[in-house]
Amino acid sequence: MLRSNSRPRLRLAAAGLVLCGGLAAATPALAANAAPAARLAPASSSANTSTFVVGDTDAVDTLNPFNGFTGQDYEVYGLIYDNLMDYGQLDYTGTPRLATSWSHSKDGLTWTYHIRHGVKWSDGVPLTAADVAYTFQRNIKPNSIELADNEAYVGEITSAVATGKYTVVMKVRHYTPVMNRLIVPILPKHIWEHVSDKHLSSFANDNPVGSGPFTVSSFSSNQSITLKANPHYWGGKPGISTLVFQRFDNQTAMKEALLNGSIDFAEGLTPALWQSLKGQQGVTTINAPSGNFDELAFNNGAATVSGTPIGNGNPALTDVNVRHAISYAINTPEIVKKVWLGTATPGTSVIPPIYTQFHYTPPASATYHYDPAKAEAILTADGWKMGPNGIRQKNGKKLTLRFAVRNQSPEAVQEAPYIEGWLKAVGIGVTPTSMSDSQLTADIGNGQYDMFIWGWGVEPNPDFQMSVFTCGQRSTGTSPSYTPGWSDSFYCNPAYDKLYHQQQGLDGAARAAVIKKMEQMLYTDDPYSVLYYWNDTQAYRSDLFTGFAPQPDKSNGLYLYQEVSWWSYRCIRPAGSSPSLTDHNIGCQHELGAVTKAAAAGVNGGLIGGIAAAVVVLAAGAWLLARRRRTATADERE
Amino acid sequence: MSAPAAGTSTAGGNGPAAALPPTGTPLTPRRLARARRKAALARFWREFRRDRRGMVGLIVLGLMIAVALLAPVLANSRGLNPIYAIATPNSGPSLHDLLGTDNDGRSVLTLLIWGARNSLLVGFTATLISMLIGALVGVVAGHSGSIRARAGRLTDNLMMRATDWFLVVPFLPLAMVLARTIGPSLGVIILVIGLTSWAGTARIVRAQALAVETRPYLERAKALGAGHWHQMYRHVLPNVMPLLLANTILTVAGTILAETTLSFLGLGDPVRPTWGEMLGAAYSNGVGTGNIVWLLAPGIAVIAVVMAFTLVGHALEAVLDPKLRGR
Repeated sequence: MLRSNSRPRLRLAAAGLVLCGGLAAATPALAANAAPAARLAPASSSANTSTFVVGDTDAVDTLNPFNGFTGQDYEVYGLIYDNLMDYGQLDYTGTPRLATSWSHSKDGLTWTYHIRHGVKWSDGVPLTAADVAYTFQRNIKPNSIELADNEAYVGEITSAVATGKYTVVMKVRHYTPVMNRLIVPILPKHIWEHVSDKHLSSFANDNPVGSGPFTVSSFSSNQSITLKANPHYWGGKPGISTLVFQRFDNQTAMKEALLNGSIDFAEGLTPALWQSLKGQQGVTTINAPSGNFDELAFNNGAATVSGTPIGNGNPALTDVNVRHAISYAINTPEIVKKVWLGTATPGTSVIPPIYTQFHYTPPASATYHYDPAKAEAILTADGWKMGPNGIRQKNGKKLTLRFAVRNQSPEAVQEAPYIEGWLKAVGIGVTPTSMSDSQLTADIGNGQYDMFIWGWGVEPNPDFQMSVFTCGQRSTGTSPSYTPGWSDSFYCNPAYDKLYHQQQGLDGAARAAVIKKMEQMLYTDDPYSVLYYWNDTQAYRSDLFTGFAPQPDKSNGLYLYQEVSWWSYRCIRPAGSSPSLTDHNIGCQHELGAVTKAAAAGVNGGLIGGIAAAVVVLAAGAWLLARRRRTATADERE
Repeated sequence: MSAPAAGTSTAGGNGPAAALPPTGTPLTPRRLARARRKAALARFWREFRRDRRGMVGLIVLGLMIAVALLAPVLANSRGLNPIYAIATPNSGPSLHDLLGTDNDGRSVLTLLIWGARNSLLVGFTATLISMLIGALVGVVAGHSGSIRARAGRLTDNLMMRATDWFLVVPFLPLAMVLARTIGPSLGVIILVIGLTSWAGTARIVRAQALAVETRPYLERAKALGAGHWHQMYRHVLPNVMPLLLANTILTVAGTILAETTLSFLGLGDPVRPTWGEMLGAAYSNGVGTGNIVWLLAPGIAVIAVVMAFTLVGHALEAVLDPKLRGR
């Protein structure tokens, strides 16, 4: 799926553009000054009016959901609009949101959705099945911007019809489990029917009418956005009255803003800054495993979809032995320790372990652990003899690889000399070149690269991530400028493609089994060296706010910026205030009990920490037990 | 500086007579010229030595260049690769790591020594480009400007308007846009700085060239049938050379500073680290955690080098331009 997969990439790209604008030196101060102003209005004195300010290096670009591309864009769309379902806070299964229940025919080709009664748009117009049907009709038009944007969800849908005031029937080409998790913002027909296809991309949508828990109060593109709680929200009024997303170009400024109270939540801090916030009074740090991984990607033999070789990749990398040797030569735990300061986990397969249902863990005997001697043995056996200057060669050709270093990513820059050092140590020459993200994207599409470090954000539905490695995702078009597909390794294996199509018609344990088989195939063929899964490092003012609903529901779950989910926003409330509408307010029954109790007690920080830790451990234990049963039933249900 | 320069001891006195070679050797024009140049150089050195600040700058500069050239001797290049770094990351100064370590555990001193190479390389190469363009535009404009013909005036005008444009456009945004569009590499940075910093030089050179153009010997050369190229190359250029030299030294300070700024802002080449890159990395990874020495070391090094170039440049200017003497 486009959006969340493109998130980390675009996130980094956006960070780079900031510098390009020449604002880098000036804006940190501006941003830091702007935040308190936004906060002036309601102080946390009254429990009824409270402003929660989130700092992020990313910002909302546009309020038109078909134009959005930054991670922050999607964070806000999910608050303004409702989807039919949410990804469950506990295990990412489809849970009711606008749709209260749904079922499908025996052949799996006809799906019936029952829409929630009594929901109103923020302009007072009632939300009915007609709006839902309209949204999907708009999204499935062939060759439209809408379809391109939401294809991962609506690609199989052929029709959507409102058969009653609160009933929608959709037909699909083939059975697909995605119909249980339709994360597509439902739009008001009475607004959007006036937006023609021609004017869609220029439609600013600055005063969006939605049905979500928040409405837009003021918006400045790429700077900040202020949202007001929607008092008529069907799930109950959110616990905070105002929600502000403030952009910071400088992470150090963001950290200071959190400490001086200009912001209440800091998203995506660098590991070093995040670590320096540990133990600060009133601040709680979260080191949450997320659906992200970074990989050392190889050019496995660039070609177009029709199989025509393109580009100038080093043919040595088409040899699986060379790729294996590289994987054995790299000491990933060292990178995790020194670059990520422990806020990452060494990686194996392409589906991160937070998706327990789908993550494949290779057996210890087959895992690529750091073993330079083994790497050298593999290369020697493969005919690569050590040449002069410590660079191996075969048939007179030197084993020297170009290495694109993304200068917009501080981590990639820091990791580059490590990779270079380890590969040189086993006789593989490395020529690092500094490159911008846009330049590298073009080079990948044209097959003009050997290797690079980049990453993916994997969403709960693994379909898109698995599709990246299919033959059909290779480049299209003709020389000299090819249109890139999503493939950045040019891996192509008919057996893999077959499994990919097979999993599309399955759900539950059967699908998970096929997905794991595909991951195993990828792990063995090694088109990528998955380096590590990096965590989302967040911090928030636990002395001011409480009531988060982490996903998954653990103390180290994601508090905000969850995987295509928005649980916490509906439940956050000023510390000390009582939970409002908890029974009614969807998701809030899962808020982290331990945090609530400790903050409400208002005792000294260290003591709170101790108690909280103890409670968390107990709660986590209980929850794990409960969860075991829950996942089991969830699997059977699907 | 106590040791007398070689030139002074052989010349042994003042005045043009002292420049004559010892008696007994036949006098040829070439010998005469050589002797004259030698004497001029000696005079120059004597003057320069009198400028204490200039001498301080020269010593600092000499040290820095020596460090850059001797980097492989002073610090093992393995120390640049973090996989061989065993020290604790972000640790303060110690006996083993005099300036502490960076966030990878590499010695800051090693990084500083190797960074000097790239920083000075960028500084000198970018200045060379800037000087070539500046001198070319300045001399051609000055020479064309002194020609009566309309074409000459037009050339001068066009060149000066282009120069004005480069003078007026704020350097940083222009350099950033260029660096961003062309791509991040050391070569691009050198090119960008070179292409954006020549305007001041061109102005100064043109003014001097115009002054030179009015001198009688140029009129004589013209009367004897000297072409434009000959006039510019043989007569104008040598006379603007001293000014150009002083300006060059001053420009190096500017280009090193420019490179530092661009690298700090993330537009440099992270693969070939300079002091600016170090500053950028230390700012984003070291300051937040209290590792101040990592930030201070390249900062002070940049200040020292820029200061040294400026002092030497001003001293040169004072020696070469009598009007500035005694300031």
